[in-house]
Amino acid sequence: MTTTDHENELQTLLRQRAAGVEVSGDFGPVAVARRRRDQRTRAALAAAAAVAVVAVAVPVLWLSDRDPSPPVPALPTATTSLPTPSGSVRSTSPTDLPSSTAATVPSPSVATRADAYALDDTIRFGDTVVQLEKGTVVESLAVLANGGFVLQSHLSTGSSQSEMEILSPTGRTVRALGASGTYAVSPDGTRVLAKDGTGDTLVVYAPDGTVVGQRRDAREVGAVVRGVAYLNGDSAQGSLRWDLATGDTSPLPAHLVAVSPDGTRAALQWTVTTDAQDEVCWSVVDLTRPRFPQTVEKCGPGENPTMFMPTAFSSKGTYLVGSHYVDGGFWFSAGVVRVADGTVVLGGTGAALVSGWSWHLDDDESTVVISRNTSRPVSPATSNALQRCSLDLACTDVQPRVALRDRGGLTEPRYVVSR
Amino acid sequence: MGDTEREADFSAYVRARQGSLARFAYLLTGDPHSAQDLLQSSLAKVYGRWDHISTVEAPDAYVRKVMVNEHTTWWRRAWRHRERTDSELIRVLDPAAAPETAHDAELWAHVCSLAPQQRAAVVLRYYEDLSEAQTAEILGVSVGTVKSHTSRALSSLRRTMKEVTS
Repeated sequence: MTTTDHENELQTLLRQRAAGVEVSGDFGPVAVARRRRDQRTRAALAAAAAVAVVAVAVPVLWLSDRDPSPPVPALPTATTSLPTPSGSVRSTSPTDLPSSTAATVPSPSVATRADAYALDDTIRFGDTVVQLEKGTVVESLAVLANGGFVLQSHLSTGSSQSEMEILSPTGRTVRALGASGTYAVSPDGTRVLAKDGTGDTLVVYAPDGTVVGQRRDAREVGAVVRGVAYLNGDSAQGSLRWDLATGDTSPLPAHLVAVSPDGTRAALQWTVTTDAQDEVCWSVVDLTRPRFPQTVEKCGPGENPTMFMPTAFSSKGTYLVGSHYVDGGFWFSAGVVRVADGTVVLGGTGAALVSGWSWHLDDDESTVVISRNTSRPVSPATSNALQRCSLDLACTDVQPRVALRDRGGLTEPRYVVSR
Repeated sequence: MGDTEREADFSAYVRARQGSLARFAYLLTGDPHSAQDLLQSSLAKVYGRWDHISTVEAPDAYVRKVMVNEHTTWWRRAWRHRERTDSELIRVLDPAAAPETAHDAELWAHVCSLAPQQRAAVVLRYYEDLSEAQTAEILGVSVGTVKSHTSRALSSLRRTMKEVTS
């Protein structure tokens, strides 16, 4: 056979094979949803380890000035739903507590980062269940200083466009933050930095929805710590420090994704474009010294083989929390590295893989709370549990395993861990 | 372009082209699950840059480039955990024509064993009917490299088929 014969034979074979391929669905919505999920997860992981446990002893649920209802006891009572003057259909209801217990032990309950999580269209903490609008799919959740929440979600029916909002402790919407956006919450839960997906305006909010600061800027959400907002800019723009009290700004290194709770260090993360577009780099810089010297850098397949991407510092600044890279999947790979030297202390590949969707490192810096993919093998993902794991990966289920639903090729978790 | 307009524009493009792109993905990967995963992840990346891509004259070329890069990236990382979903957006039916011969099966197995860049070069040249220059553009390599890829693939094919015949 000549080369042309071989070429013809090859061409015929490829055409025959291709002729058997049938598409039985619509890739468009799946691709859009997947893109949004990837973006949301990056944002959802940001500051995951930085929110402090606060307001545990607040005796009553505190409501914003946009919420005209009087303060209500936080503990579920015989009332199964609260009035919703804003038109929201969210309600708070008792859980499975025996009614006698609820009636005789009226201890207040306020959500904290340590105990709040979402399951399907509810937010749960302690014995309280906050019922969100039926069909709400929670994408990310953060607890605020007043026991309220930042919620990013979409409805399981209709548009898959996600919406961000600040909720009161009872689950009532006090402020809509926009669609398809990103946000970060300060470690003390008193500030929310948000940017919606439709414009170039970054806004800082208080937990009651009050606007604390606003700035038109093409940069993205980085972090908000101790009265300072940090905006993440690319190498052309550079990042920016924005003092919320004075409005002063100053330049910072590009690609800033997290700031330590004491405001002294920042984590940067960037990608080096190669033919395969797959080299991920991260570093930590000292914000207290001129020119922000690097204290650690891990770059490329040699130094960062699992392609770790930091998104938050732990509460004492010992670790960076983030994800190891997984391309093409419907779950993510949890990761924790030591800030001092970049050593991976949790997650990786093979037996070290920790597959899940959302996670945070508790304030003790030794316990990871994770919405875990409990499927074996991990793909396709069919099972989800809320787990607490030590850094050496001794895990226990703290909420039971639930089956996952597959929505048109896009597997979504049912548990969502608060940031 | 607003979010709604972007999504509508992108969805219309995908609906019109997904059949062709799915076939390309299948020829690159060799199995329907991987093809589905490759196409989904590539389209997700494309959507992220849709404002730019939608303005170019030939979005297909850009999308194919993303798919080839994505597939090469997968192959380079042996530890990649590919997602396999139960829902099947891509199915591969038996060829409607004459039953597949052992020779065809061997040939297909050989195509599947080619390194990703070689295989992409073969698919772009002999299935998509692109010129060497167009193939080089998508692969991000020189025309000489395309010639070398296809020549090596054909040589290797000849050797394999001789062994099968003998």
